[in-house]
Amino acid sequence: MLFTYLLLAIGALKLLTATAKAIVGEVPRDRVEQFARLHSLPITAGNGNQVIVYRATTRRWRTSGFAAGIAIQVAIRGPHFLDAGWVFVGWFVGAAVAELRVAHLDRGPHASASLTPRRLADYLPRAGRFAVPGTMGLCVLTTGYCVADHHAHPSGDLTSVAAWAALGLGVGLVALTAQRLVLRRPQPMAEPDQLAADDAIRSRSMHVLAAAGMVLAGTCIGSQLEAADILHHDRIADIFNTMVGFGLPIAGWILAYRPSPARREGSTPSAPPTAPSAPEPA
Amino acid sequence: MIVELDETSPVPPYEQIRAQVAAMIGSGALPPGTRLPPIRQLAGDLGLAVNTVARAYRELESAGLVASRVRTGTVVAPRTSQELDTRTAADTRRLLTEAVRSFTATTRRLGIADHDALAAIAAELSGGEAAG
Repeated sequence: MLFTYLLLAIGALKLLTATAKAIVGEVPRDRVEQFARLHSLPITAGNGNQVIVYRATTRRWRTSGFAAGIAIQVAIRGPHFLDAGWVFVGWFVGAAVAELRVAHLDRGPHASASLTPRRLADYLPRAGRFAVPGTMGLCVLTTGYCVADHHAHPSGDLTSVAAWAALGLGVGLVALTAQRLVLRRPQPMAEPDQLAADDAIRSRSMHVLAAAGMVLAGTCIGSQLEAADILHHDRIADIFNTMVGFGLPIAGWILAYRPSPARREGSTPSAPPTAPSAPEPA
Repeated sequence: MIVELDETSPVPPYEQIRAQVAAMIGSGALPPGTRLPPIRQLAGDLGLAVNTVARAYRELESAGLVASRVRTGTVVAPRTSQELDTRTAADTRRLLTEAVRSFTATTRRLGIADHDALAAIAAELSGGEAAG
């Protein structure tokens, strides 16, 4: 018993040390290099600090969320019932909050802006754009399936199914809202290398939010099936749950760490969708 | 394509945006069908209130230079060749007036006498260096 408590104390101490280091410590050089590699971004004297500040802000908030996820669970349920899912929830909330805290480029003495509209498609591939809405859709479909199949599994708890569905949809909405905030973060005109870094930062944020939102909402799907008591009784549901349980984290990891060149800020606005239309009759 | 604000100008920010976008449309730099950024994006980038940019867009829309659509946002409106001719001339006149007003406001602020200001313009137009 004493040994268990000793291990827990050491674990808590290590967690506290790692959290403190992430909050106030320096960003390792390899992290900046990894970021530059993922986005094919040349790090210059002008944009180096920009990337370091971004990495420091996101690391600080994500780690704080992660640690809070553990601390809250320990406080509520005790140290023996640590659920990785809720720890991930804490990390995700920290990641979303970090996006609100990331500083935008300085406007300088003369405010200027590009007339090029920023779109989600500029920063995320098609699969990434549909990751969160698709998982939210799956969450709704699973709810429908659980309700329809309730007569075959009357021991299932439909209230819990609905609660997990609400949580899954809520997580999806948080991810989509955070993506929207990232897209709207001001981008005044600046030096090309700073604009490239700003675009790379947006792209990184979008990828992480899409991947984390998808995996977290996907976790709720598994919990829905479990709450409905369908798992281990329905072969199709078991296969589906396995696919969601393993497939989504793998897809999320691929999406989050997929190399994505920074969006090149054009000096011209987006081209018309079609050729200029013929003159309209007066 | 860049919009720039002069915070020291007596011309209000919405008018500066309107004039610059109108000039780009008039010169053909922004061809018909080109999407303009959402109001919130431009306002955020320039550090202005949303209403300021919204007013600039409204003025452009009432002048028939842009059209707002639900799905595509604000796009440069198509124009007939006749409209193009008249509008270009009107834009040119308006831009000239705005430039003269801006110049006058600057010379007044700097306390430059009218004859010195006119001499500077004459020197610039004749290809010489503008008087400091």
